[in-house]
Amino acid sequence: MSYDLILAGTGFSSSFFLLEYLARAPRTARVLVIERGWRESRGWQLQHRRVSRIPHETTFRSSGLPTKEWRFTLAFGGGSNCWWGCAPRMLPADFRLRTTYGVGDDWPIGYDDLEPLYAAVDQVMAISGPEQTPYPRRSPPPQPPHHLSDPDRMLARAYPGQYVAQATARARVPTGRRGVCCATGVCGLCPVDAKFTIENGLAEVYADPRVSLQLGAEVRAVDVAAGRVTGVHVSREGREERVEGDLIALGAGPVFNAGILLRSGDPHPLLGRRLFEQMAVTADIDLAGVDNFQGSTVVTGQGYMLYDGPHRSTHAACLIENWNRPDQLRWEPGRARQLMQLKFIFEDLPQVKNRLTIGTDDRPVLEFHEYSDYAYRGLDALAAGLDALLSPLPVERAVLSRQPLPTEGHMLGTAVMGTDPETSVVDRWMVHHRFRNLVVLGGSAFPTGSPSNPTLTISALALWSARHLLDKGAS
Amino acid sequence: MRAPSPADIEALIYRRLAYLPLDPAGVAEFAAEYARRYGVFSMSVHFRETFGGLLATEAVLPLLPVERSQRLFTFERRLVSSFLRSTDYFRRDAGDGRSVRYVAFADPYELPCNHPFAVRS
Repeated sequence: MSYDLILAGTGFSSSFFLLEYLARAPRTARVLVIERGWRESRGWQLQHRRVSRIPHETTFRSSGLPTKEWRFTLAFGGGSNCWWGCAPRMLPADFRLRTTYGVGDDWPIGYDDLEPLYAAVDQVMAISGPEQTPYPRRSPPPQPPHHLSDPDRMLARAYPGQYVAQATARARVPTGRRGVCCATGVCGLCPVDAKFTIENGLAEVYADPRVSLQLGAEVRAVDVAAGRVTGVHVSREGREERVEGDLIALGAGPVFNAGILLRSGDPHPLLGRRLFEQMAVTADIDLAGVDNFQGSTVVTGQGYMLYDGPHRSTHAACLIENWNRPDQLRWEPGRARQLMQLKFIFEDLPQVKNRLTIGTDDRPVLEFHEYSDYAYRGLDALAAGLDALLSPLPVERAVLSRQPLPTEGHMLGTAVMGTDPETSVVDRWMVHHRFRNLVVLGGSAFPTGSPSNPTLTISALALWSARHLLDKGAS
Repeated sequence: MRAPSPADIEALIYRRLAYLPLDPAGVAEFAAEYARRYGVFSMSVHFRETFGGLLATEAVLPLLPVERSQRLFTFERRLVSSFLRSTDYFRRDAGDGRSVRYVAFADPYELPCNHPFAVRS
């Protein structure tokens, strides 16, 4: 049997691509979705306190920086299982880093291209957030913002327009489909199902009669003939089989997207390279006389004071998160809540030396040597300016960790997007430059990362790609 | 780092919360439960629970350039926080002189929506 669309993966990029595809495809379309993981029930997940029976760390090897970790989920719904629901948009300047600041690369698309798609994703995810944000928006979020804490409000007053409630997929009010966030603070597996996941928010696309879903099956490679991809090789239950398709879309994440193409013999010199993600550090701050933790979700405030501006010509932008998680309370009488925990997330610039290859055991090898000097200069600037930054707060003690956290769970790069086929793997529509019926979705396409969590952008890009392909096909 | 025993956990709680009327049986029950759940490498487990498991594992802990004293300080705060959130302390009226009562171990999956301060209206 031949399919009109073969889709690898069931995470954010695949699911939003499929949503748009099914809205425009004919009723006779045949779609095959191939998911390496299984569809774990919430009961199983909560019982085992894991989102997947497949330990992700067994599916790849690492080399390079020993403290670097990578996090993703192999299960129906992909990263929607383990993400924390932080859903800000990127800023317009994030798409024009080279033109504006002379560093990194420009994207082949701009914020205005994606804005309507961001708004569409907001609706699907029922995003909670403020109407006024540092990124322009033409319509308000579907849900009101979460409650801020008292320190949040002090920072918001001191930095008007630069410190706002976080846009999030952790529900603020009932959606009818999932729970309401109660700030339990273990969002990687939410005990009350309050964050958007593919399972609770988009599962209906996989129930469409045009869609066949294969679980526990892995796309290993694509077949190429006469300059087109003709199908995929699938491994399932110890057997290999070949499936034919007209349009192939890879939404298996930066690791496995690149792995599939490398196994297929794609010779592009940048395939697998530019593996990167954000760099983050934390600060513990004791306050004098101000109680914290009144927020209604785990990450309440989001600060843009160190994000965009002329400094990006020399050092990385930084996004600040305030964590409403009372797990380091003070023991002094009456002062338990007089502290806060901030996270500082820096953009990193992709480096060719950080890359993914296929090892001798056929597993991807993630070779990450170091974050960029650009990112570390951002950390240096933060350390030098931390006292001034926190001056609106009554700070007694501030301890900034200089050791980056092992991972942000936001893998990017490996199949970069661009206009020049010599320096990019996919075009502005996420279509492979060389194989015009092959789409490579997700964070693998990001030319730069920005400090903003990438999920909303990944989802918007999937809609963008599908809309173009279906409109192009119709025309 | 030596793994805290229940006796060590109790001693830490009494040292840091000496100003509170603590119920000895409750403190002992919490300490035993904490040790049972986390066992060896308690500190790295606490780190693993922060930010959804994205911080250091026991293999990475020695590589962190944080002063040992800072790590111990953080560990103690987290343990004391776990204790207080496992009691009725934050649900008592100011000036309540009764002993702080152990209710149940503050496990987010056994007791979700247990954030003592979140405003959710």
